Amino acid sequence: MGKQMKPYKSFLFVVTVLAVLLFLPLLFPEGTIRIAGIELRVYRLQHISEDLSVPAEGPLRFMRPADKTPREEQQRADTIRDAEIPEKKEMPARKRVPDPAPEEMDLAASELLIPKDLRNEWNEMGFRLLKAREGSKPLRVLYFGDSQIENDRITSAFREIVQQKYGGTGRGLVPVENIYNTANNLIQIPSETWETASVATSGKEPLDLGFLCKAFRVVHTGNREDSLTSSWIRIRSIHEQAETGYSVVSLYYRASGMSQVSLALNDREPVVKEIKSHAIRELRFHLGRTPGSLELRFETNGEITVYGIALESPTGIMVDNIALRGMAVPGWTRIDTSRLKQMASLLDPALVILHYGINVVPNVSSDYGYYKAYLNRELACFSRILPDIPVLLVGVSDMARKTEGLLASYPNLELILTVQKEAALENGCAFWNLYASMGGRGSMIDWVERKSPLGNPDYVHFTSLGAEKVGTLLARQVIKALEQKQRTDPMADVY
Amino acid sequence: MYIDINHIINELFAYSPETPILYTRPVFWVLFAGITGVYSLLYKKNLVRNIFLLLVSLFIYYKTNGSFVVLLVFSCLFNYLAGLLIEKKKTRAGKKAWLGMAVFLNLLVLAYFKYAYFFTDSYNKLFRNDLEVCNWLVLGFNRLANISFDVSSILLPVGISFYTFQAISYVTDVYRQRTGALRNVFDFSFYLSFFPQLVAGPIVRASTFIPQLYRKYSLTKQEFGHALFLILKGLVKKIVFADLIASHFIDRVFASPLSYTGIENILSLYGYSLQIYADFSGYTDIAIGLALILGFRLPVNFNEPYKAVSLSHFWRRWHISLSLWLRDYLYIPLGGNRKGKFRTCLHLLITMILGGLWHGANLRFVIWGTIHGVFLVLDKLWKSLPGIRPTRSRFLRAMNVFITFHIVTFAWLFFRAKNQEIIHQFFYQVQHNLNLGLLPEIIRGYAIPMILMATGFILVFIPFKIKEQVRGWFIKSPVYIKMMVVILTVIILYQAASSELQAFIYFRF
Repeated sequence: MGKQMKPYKSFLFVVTVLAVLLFLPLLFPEGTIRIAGIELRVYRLQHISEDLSVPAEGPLRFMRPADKTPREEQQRADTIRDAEIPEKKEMPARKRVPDPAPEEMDLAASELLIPKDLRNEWNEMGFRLLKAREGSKPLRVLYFGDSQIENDRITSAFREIVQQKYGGTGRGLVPVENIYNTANNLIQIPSETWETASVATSGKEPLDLGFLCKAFRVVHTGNREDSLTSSWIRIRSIHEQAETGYSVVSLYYRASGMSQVSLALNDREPVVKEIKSHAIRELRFHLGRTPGSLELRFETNGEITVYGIALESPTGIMVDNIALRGMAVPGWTRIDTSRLKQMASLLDPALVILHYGINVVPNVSSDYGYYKAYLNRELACFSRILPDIPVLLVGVSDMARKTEGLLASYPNLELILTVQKEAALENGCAFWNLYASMGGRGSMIDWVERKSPLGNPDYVHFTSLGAEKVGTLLARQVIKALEQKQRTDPMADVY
Repeated sequence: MYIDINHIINELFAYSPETPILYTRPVFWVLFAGITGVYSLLYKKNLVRNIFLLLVSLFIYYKTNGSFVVLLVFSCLFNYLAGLLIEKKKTRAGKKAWLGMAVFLNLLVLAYFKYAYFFTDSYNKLFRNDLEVCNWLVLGFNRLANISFDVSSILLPVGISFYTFQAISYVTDVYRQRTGALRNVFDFSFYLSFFPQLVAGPIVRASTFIPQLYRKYSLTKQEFGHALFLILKGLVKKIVFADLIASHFIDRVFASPLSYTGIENILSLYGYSLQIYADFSGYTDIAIGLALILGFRLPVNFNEPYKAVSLSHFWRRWHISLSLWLRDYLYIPLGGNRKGKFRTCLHLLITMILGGLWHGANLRFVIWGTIHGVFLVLDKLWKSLPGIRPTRSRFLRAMNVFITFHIVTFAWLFFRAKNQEIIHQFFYQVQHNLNLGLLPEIIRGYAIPMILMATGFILVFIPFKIKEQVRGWFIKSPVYIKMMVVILTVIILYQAASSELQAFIYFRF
């Protein structure tokens, strides 16, 4: 048996440790200190004081109490409940921010900003959309963005709303890549023979790419001309019983040598087409109904380049998700103009949406003139390739970082937003302030900390739920803007 | 520098669901200092000491879970009475009837709060129905008190699985005469709600804890050193290894597997394997340390589980108090290994499936339990083959550890993923976007979580002897050294807790 201790000694030990920890920071300057080359953050008494109490209200901008999601709560492993409430405990205590439904987000801040001189373009677009069900092929919304829209986030909700309103089904343009798309119930798997060229990774300009800012090439590898190189793309449903929605497959390609493409549907005989063209061509397969699975098989003794595959309905509206992670602009200025024009003549865009900014934010600066110059060049390029097609620039979303133990929105967000707004208006584009719609400064922190989080734990990207809210709100605002234009514009009577 | 004392006092008695009292918050340690202060005045009188700790425990539970403290008090009173009635009955049938009633009611409360959604969803799927959950308890209160609280949802009280199992073990042990029924309601309530282990275990048996209620306070200097070591170890595990790796890497990948390469998904699963161990065992380390400082001994709950050479070995080292509970109150009553090989395997499988369901009310936990059950069965069958003996070869033992660790880690996928869709996405990325070639780039990009993961696994797998040497050195060190180590550790923990978030890194795939 060791020597016995009385409880007051434990008490003295704990109190002494707390006292030392309480007064230790008084010996050091605020901020960080360097000991043996290691930078240490000095905590302040305030941090403990904040932990002892609930601080004053933060940027609370929403109206209803926090979502109670007992179902989700029940589905968690409650044995580690305590353990699973991690990061937030180390932050100063914060008041829970109520969850907004899309309609309860800051609607005044969510209005689209449309310059007066764009009235005709928006009216024209509204007219075209209303007639989308009657056309010979679908109209398109080309939605460009960075990692924020990857995996059809935001666009899937946006698509659902506009397709309900103006008709159409299907995912729209897809690249020749692995795709696992829950929203559209699609899995796409290509063979390993495809080489990808992308505006994000390719060097030599002008780049031979299409609207997707990517191209997918298969080159005959054999020495003999009578042999053929085979490649394939398989598309199937994730859940057999659920609808995937498309009944037309359109292929955008160029081909040299002896090349052919065949489309095999479930157990049906494949349809074979010979393809050869120097310019981008379109090949449409009308399937009549949504297939459970299909395979596009390519054979060539030359070269085939695919610029995109559209999974769509014969008419209506398509929303094409064109996501390139890490980009601050789409990069159309680097692409061969003739290729873009060829694609523009084949597709029928009604609206272009550009959703960028989160990759600019981490480079904190007081001058974003360089970014404005990039944006100006890109927007000018769009207006050259797609004249009279309205462009909507979506401003950067709120995003946060941790400095000195405290989570806070980046300090430069408003500056970047100003630059984006100026560039949009100066180039005759509409603008949507996503940052203000979210609730402004601090809103991403609130979105991440909800019981049903709307933001991912990186405090940058949206969860699928958050993306759905953003996509829904944007679609509603676009439709609202179009309907208002039609109501207020005297020319609307003519339509 | 200004601290608003009035505000602090006001907040002290207010329940705020967003600021529960957790071991990782300074507020807990300020409160604990107060507890030890009062305790040092009361510790000599067992009943007063126990009542004080009971009140403190209920207060902490109230701060963590609000009005659900009423449910805990109900559980204390009900099981206290059940214990007395079981003991009082003279006949075996009478005792059995009261035991059955007590177990049924405990499970009913657990099922109501924890499994209402699971049962409703399962019923709806099976019979293509669309039933909605209704909180009958609140509905009853509403009618009685003419109030109108929300009846459309049932929230899960924190720690209900733990204290319910602890209560069942108590009434069963009284029935089996392994322990006598407690005469004093405060003593029993204290046993069931003792704050260090209330929320996440270990599940304490009446036979090991109740005798301590009547013992005099005792704590040696060595034990105090051991308690401090456990608390520091637990905090480091929780804040540095569990939370930091989770917030910088794992949570993000599991939030959106499709945004990450297959190899990042796999790394995050390894990370989760470390996180859940650091998190859960860290919590119990702190609980055991706190209880020890107050003079109570809680059982060991984790014993280097990832060094297990088989699944059955793993379950003798992971969440030991639960494994023993499941063995004594489920597996053995089902028949254990007394009814032939087939029934033994079936009992094992049932025990693990129900064990899985105990962890959470979702099909994912059933799958998790089934994976463990199936491998436990295979392990049992393998060991029953003629000529199979435990190997002495170090290489084969290492291989067994490697295989067991990977089975356990694979099963964690079903534990961590928020829903089935995330599991599908995980497999899809691993199958189609593995991008193994990006591994060096990924390791460089996620340097902090990767270094922590590597360090964590090294600490998990280093020989026990080395760990014991470090513990021994700490225990023997003079009090001022201990104090310096504690202060230094807290400063490091602050650095970890306040570290900047890892930026999102773009790896193409």
